[in-house]
Amino acid sequence: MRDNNIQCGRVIALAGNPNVGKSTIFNALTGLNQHTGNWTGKTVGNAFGQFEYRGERFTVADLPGTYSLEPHSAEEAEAEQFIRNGVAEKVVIVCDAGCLERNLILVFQILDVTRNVIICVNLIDEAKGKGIHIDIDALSAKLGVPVIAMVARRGIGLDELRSAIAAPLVNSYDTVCDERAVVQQRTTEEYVQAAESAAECATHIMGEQKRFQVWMDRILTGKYTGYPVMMIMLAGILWLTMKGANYPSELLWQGLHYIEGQLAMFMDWCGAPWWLTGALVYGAYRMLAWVVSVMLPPMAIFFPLFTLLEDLGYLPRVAFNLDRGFSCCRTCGKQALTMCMGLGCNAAGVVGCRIIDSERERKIAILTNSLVPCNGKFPTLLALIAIFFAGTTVSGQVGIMTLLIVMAVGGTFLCSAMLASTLFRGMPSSFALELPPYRTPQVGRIIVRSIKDRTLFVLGRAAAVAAPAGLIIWILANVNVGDVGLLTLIADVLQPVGHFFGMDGVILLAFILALPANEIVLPIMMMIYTSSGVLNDYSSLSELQMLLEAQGWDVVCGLCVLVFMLFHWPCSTTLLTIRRECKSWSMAALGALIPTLLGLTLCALINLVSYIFGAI
Amino acid sequence: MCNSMPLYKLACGDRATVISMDHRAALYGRLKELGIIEGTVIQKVMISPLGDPAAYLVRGALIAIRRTDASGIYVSSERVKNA
Repeated sequence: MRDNNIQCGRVIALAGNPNVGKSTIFNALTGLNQHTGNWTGKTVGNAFGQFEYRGERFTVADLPGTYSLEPHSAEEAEAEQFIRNGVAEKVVIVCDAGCLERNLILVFQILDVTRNVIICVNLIDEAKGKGIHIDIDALSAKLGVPVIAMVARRGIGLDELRSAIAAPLVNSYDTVCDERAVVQQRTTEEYVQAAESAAECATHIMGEQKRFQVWMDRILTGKYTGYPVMMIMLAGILWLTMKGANYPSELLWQGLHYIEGQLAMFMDWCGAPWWLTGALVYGAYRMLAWVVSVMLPPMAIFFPLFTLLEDLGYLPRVAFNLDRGFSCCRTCGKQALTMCMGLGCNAAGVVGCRIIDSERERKIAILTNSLVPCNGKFPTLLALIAIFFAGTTVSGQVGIMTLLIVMAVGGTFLCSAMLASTLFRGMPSSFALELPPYRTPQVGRIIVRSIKDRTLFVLGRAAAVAAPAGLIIWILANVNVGDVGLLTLIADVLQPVGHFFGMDGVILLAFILALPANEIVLPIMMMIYTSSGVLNDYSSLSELQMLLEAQGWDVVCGLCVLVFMLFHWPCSTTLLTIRRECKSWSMAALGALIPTLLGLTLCALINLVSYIFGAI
Repeated sequence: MCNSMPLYKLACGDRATVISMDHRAALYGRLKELGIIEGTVIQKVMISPLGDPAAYLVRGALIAIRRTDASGIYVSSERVKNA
């Protein structure tokens, strides 16, 4: 979808301030599923799509939101360059009717670059709710370009937009603003004043703003309620995820386990040698079954809930609430947004860091992003919590999980502060974050989108890694050198290192081998353990517990694995993303080193403390 | 005659007019693009739970600005009656 086919047909650019609905219009025009959400900076990088209208082909570029043509961040620069280099035949500038005046500043700036502009005044309905009425004709007359009223979410105004896009180029901006030719580069003040006067003649305010918005903010960012509500939301999401995922996960695992038995029998019946059955069924298939059964149900619940909050407009409020902490660490409050994205997927979080203007703060945010546990770590964390700490009560698990995430946020603050005072010294840059109005989430679309675009995407990526990884690791675990398996041999070498950090060699080896995907740490461990012939089957959590305890796991070991699961190197996808975003391998190495050092330090401390207590 | 004060000193809920802006401030360019210039009416709407940043209503948009950044913006200490 990116960068290819750009030459196809007539090229149209979608520009505008952040969070005015560019992606929604883009999706409506092209029928694609570019991710939408109610917060500033969700679209990073240009996205391209195509549509046909009256037999003509059009390519639409969805540009990242920008406040002006003097870019302050990398993503804004992308939008600016696209508009300035004149690739697009027409620029559709999307405006938010609710704050038209501010949006018009960019409109006037773009009008000084190109006159082939169509203005979309989006969110007309929302503005009406605020008591704002926009006089479309007056605005069009004032600007001398076509202006279209829209409610993109409901598809209102789309046909008009299509025909305006297809219409031949005509406009009268030059006759309206004669001084244009003389004044090539106006100052920002002049743009603001132009916007002010244009908005004045087109905007009629009648009535008061809705109390609902104010009331929501009073609770979600209130002095005494802001933090408790944030914690309740987090715990609530986790509770729903765990409670809801428990049973389907169990069922899925049992079903897939049954198929495993059948597959093995079928292989035997075909006369396949034991190693082929082992590698394909107990290696590749079992790993795949594990990843699917353990990941699919929680993700299918977590992602829609997360998207719901995103659509509502809660994420920027989280950044607003947490900014003081980041300001003390001398980093940017927008890091809270990338942290939230990291909860879903660290690679996405790293890309999202483009919204941070200052290079120094962006690097800090990128390097600390993997301290927040991504969705791939969730199932393993949950299994470990269930086995060693909370028993089977969901509320206990939720409590510990919430605590872990708070710990992860604490780790992010700690590492950010350390980075900001050592490698990336400098003054905190300025911070201006727009808090969008709360919007009613579109529940139906959220469910479809988040399952299709996020859940299945992440699951697919994990599964694509799991099957071959399972195959290779099973083979490695069953290749014998002398009397013992190859992996057992390596694990033995790692044993003293593992012991120092309260774990064992197998655990360490499993973490290393799971570099392609965090989801497969636990099944790799199982594979190495079972290949040493202690237990050869596990079909439920209690059997898993028996297996682990037979290997000498105790509460201290469980805790260390839990902490190391939380803080260790990110998956290879994330590392490659860091390298791409920073254009430096050393940054990727640093991105792996920082969480690992934090995790190992904590594990060594836990082990030391337990050793001292044990000695007393 | 009205005296000026830094923007962050504005009481929550109050409106004031921007009188001058510090040209050296890091955020100067960005604030202008957000529509904050001399003469703009700004309302302080809410304060983050830990006291900083605060959110200001500027030309219909709610924008969170840190205290250090808001200290470069001077507003009239006279309250603006319903704009």
